[in-house]
Amino acid sequence: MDLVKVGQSYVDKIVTDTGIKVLLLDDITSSIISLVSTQSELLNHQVYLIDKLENENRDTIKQLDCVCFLSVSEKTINLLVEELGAPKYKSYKLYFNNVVPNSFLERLAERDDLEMVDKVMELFLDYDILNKNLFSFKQLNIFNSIDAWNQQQFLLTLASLKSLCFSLQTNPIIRYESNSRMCSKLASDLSYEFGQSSKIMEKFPVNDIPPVLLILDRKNDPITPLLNPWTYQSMVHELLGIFNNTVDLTGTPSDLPPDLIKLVLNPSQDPFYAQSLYLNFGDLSDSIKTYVNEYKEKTVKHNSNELTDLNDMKHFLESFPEFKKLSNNISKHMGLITELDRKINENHLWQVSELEQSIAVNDNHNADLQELEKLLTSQEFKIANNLKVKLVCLYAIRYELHPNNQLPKMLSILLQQGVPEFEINTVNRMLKYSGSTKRLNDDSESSIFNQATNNLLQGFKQSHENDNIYMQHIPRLERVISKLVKNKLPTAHYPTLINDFLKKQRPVSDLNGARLQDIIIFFVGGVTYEEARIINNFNLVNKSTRIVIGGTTVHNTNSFMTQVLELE
Amino acid sequence: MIGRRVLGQVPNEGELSPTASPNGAESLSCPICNENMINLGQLNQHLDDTHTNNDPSESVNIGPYLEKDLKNWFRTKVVDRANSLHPLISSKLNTMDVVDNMGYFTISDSATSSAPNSTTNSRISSPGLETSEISRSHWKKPKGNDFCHLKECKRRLNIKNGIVNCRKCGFLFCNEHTYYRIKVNQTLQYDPLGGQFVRCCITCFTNKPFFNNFEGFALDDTKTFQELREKRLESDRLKTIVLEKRLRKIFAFVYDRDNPSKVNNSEVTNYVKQIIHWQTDNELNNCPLCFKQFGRFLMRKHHCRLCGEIRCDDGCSLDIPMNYLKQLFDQSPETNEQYDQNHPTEDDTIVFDKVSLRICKLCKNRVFHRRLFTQNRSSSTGIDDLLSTIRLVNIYKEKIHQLLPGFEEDLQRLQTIDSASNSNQILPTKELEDDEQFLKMLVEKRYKIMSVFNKIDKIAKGLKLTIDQNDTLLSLKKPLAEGMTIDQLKIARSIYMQLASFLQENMLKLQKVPNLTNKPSTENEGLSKLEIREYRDKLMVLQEQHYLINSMIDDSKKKRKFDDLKILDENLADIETEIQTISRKLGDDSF
Repeated sequence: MDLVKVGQSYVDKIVTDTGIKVLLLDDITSSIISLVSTQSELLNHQVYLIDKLENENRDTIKQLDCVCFLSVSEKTINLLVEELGAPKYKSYKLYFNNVVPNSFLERLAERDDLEMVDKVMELFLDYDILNKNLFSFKQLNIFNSIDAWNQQQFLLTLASLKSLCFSLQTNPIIRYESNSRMCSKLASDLSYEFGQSSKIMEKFPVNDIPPVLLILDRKNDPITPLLNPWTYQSMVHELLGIFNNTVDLTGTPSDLPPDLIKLVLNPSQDPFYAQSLYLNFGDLSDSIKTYVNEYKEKTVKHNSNELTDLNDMKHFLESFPEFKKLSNNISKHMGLITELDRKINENHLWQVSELEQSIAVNDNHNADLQELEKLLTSQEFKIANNLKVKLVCLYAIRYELHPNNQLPKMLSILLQQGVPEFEINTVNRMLKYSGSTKRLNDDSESSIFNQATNNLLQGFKQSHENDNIYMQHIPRLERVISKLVKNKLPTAHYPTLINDFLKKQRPVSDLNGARLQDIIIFFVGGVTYEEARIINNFNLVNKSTRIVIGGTTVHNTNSFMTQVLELE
Repeated sequence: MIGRRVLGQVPNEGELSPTASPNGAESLSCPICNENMINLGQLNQHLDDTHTNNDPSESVNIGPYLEKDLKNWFRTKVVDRANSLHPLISSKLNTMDVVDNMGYFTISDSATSSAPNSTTNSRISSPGLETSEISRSHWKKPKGNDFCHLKECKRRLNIKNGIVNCRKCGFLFCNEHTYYRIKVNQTLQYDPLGGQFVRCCITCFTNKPFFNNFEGFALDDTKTFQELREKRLESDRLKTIVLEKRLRKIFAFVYDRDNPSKVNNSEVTNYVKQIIHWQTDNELNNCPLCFKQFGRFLMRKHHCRLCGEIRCDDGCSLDIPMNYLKQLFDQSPETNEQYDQNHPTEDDTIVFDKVSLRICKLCKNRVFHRRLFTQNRSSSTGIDDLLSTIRLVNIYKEKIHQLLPGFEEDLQRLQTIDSASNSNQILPTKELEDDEQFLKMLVEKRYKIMSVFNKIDKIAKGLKLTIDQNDTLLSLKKPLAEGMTIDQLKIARSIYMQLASFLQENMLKLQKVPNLTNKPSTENEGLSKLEIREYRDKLMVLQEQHYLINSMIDDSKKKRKFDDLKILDENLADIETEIQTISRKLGDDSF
């Protein structure tokens, strides 16, 4: 399953018609489109003008055809009705990014008395495609209270997840974590809606092995988003933040030229990034070194006076655009890596990460406590407040049930160190959200703290071959998938929902058994790039199973702690 | 589960039978009816033919026992015997066993834990259905010197790597590339619902229909939409026809007289009252469209002359001069004025009648919406220029796409001729003449293409100029140049972007002109015509490059990329010297 291909197939559908045209988008769809296509790609399809539907100052250009790619909401339908009442363009083709309710269609049809609309289509692209196997819904405040949905956000999640399954042409069996009310609500509502969508479902190809959608709750693994990651993409998100595949370097002390402030990191447009986004920091440095050397070799050749020959000159000219691209790309990644390095040193992340891993992986309360106290109070390393709070959070989760738990002392140290009280609250909120009683008590419970276990699948073992002390911890997700792929997740902890349509389509006996082929994993409460990396490694090795992963959002430590802090 | 495992081995035995038979022929017998068999293959066939239970109800009872029997029998007779047969065969049996138990071929725990007499389960584990239906006749027999059929693998097949037939395509593969399952029916076709799982190779697995189909699902609602629209339009059309009829009547009343100018408004109103239902004044206190309250002086009640209903004067109805209305109704193309902004002035080309007609918003939309829309189609002129530019550029681009491949082919031919002439030294004169002809043609072609490129370049430069002008205006927050709008500027930028990348991509191809200096010259004095042409050609290339580099330098300067600039400058100097030497050589023969 390749989400990038799916996204591109949709873009092709939208712009495929010949002729010069205008593309109208709205806030939601413009960010979706920007993740899967570029302006020059659209230009090749004769899209000469891109604008937003809500922009009222658009010219009337009756010579142009208009293509709209819009989200399905009350607001856009209202705008569209207005637009059709006083058309600005020659004709309209309407593409929606999700299921369009019939009432909306009626309203549009009612207003279209000039018969401007040529085409109405539902595409199912109501989600952001970040990597070829990572998607996100970009939702932050999904909670009403702990383990309860904010109703409005719930409906958005439901619609987006539905569109994801539809776009992949799958009618999945749904499994979810039994201890989460949010998961169970989402799963049952989704299953019901799938059962009701037989009109769409019957158009999907039938697979011999039915696909599975696994809905997980972030609270069952709070450790992964709290740890500092050490692979490229994850680090950039952790330390600088990636939004819509764009990094904003405004406000960094290093003096950057203006075109290197906003960087687009899209693996499908940037070969170096595609190559190195899953590399750890050490390998990344090597990789950029060779990349720079390659570049230098080329420049040296151009700099020398060998260019007297006409052929050489021609060669130079032919390669110049590429050469320029290369040099731009290098300065982009060099800038990023330098910035990462600066952040690491500034925050003493090597030391912090070592302790993090020790807390997360080993069971050594006294040593961890000592080290923690040392780091919290150290004069030598000035550690930022949020990092301190994060370390205490880790400690609190890890040793919650330890007889010598010293959490109150740690909290008072935080207070002494001048950490604001509301920030310290995060620790207690974290325990309320994800304490030992809140987490799923399956047989591998203790495992969110463990190192590698033996029963991992092939792809996973490889990703932990290196004895990197900064990457010892293994996300819980791996263990879950190892079981899921062999179809051995206990139904007691992971109930199965088979929707009505699926039941009608094939005998129930057909639905369990085989090693799974297509899996969609969804994290209520946010996924991490680290988990996406795991999935990527798995997909590379296992040819018979394909996984895509996503969540309500993609977290880094800060966004995760903020989310927890904002919980009631 | 057990049944599966046992049966998983039986076909393997069959596959081995040619080698196994000489040793194992002594005393094989069917475990069920004790019939003597020659070899395992025959036994297998016999089990399939005679002891298959296709009736599910029967297999409910027999299934588990049969499995147990088979398993015991298998252990005592076949596996033990096989162990004593041949080291190779026995170890192979073991490997197969291991492979088949990798978890890929088990039905999962649910099959073992569920009650044995549930019909669905016994259907799955019922031995007859499991093995008999999928034919094995297509299996390739191992020849003892086999390689994995997968092109990328080609590993030697032996005990260690495994020798496995893909149950679907029948070819032999190593273990690693047969860890897959697919559902097939008797005819070995992929059958996701009716088929049964068999072991298959990676190729069969990944070639499953839809396996690599990542085309996002889309639903076309156009038909539904059109039906909805049609429904609504139909009732609308009826209403419109009624209104249009009334309007025609009114026009006839006014204009079919001897002197229309003497008609006054009250006469028209009286006439209208005769032909439509005139709403009585005290029926309403608020305007039915905008809900504003009517008053005695300010918000007065007015009647629409087309539907006869009461409206306010505050945007819901408007008095429109009769002749203007008629003109619009007859779709006269001269007027560009819109209904809403219609305030007759002295300057207007039309002199409006004194007679006017009050029409409400709804009726106006019904009758005039489409008319007004079609009338206003041709709006601004600036956009037309841009659009024709786009069309022109598209034509040029098309032309280049047509010409360029042919030119490149010719260039390649020239290169081969060139190398041939180098090796042969002396060429027959006739061929040389041909060559000259060919070169002539080539140069002509090149001129043609160049001229198209130049046209495109000119357009691009023109666009760049307007864009830059307007950009500076924008940055100074001044209004854009006359006739230019933001949208037009955006379109112009798009066109320019497209042209720039097109030139960059395609113009470079043109410069691949082979080095022809090695050609033997036919004349001693001065330069031959051929040489002149070559040098001119070369000069042109150089000048193009000169231009290109210059533009790159400008670009770099603008973007403050001084590293690039250095390299470019050096190049520029090189090219300039080269140009000078060539022009010196050409002397008077240059352009």
